[in-house]
Amino acid sequence: MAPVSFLPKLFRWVFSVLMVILVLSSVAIVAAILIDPKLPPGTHFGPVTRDVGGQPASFVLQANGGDSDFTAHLFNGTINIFVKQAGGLVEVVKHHGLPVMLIDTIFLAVLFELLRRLFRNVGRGESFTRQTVQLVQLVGGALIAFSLVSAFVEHWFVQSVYLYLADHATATISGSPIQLPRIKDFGWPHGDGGSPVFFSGLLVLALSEVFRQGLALKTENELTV
Amino acid sequence: MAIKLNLDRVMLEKRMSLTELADKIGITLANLSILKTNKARAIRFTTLDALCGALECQPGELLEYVADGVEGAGQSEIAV
Repeated sequence: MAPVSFLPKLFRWVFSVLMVILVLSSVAIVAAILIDPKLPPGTHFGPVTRDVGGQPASFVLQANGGDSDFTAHLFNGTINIFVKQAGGLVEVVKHHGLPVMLIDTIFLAVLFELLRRLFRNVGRGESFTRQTVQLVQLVGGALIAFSLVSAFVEHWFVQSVYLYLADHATATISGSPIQLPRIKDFGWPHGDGGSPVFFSGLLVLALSEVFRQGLALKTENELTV
Repeated sequence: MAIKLNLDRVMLEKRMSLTELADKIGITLANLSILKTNKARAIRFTTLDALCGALECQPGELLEYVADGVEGAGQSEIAV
């Protein structure tokens, strides 16, 4: 058998570390969902001045009753953004963004675990075994499933944030106010020309067929005396 | 169709053990066991040559064609 290079071992360790980080991140996200921290009433900061696009910009969070209003002046005041009750926006991002992040981190943890097992087998020189073929098929299937699920959950998140901003945010560009139109039905999520994750999944599934044929050849070779 | 390898019968006739045959033709016991149990998919001419030389027999004595459905047919096919 050809000597196994160091790469499978390296990948195995990299994927192990990434998997542990993602599991810890998932636990942190679950904790954040359960604890549900809230922006204290009357939270304020600023004005804070920063460079945005090479031009000075300022950001202010002002207390307003039990909530806070957010104001941003960008490009020397050419663009102004005002968000009424910004605490509500934080709540929307928290209640819709955290579940999306949780789904993403859990999926990536599962994917990295599958890849870790795959490279463990490759490191042992067991590239063409039934288990390896199944792992490659699982990785491909998981990528396709994730691309479809994430398209829906991210669409749901963007829709929620947009609807909040449509009700509470106003922007002025060169003194002309712009109000986001309130769209009730966003329809089905539509891709931007095809998700790279989806096509990666298809590619991995195609490669799994190569592995399957390799396994058949290996079995044939082993049973030739 | 099925091709059966009658290695066990020829070995019994020649009074040769599996280990002895393996040593004589330089083949592992595991591979010889695959041949003996008719699990092999193919057999090389070099292996057949060595087997015939060690067992002092003709290939026809080792190989047998058994049609499908005939009792005692080998479990797998052997392509030569």
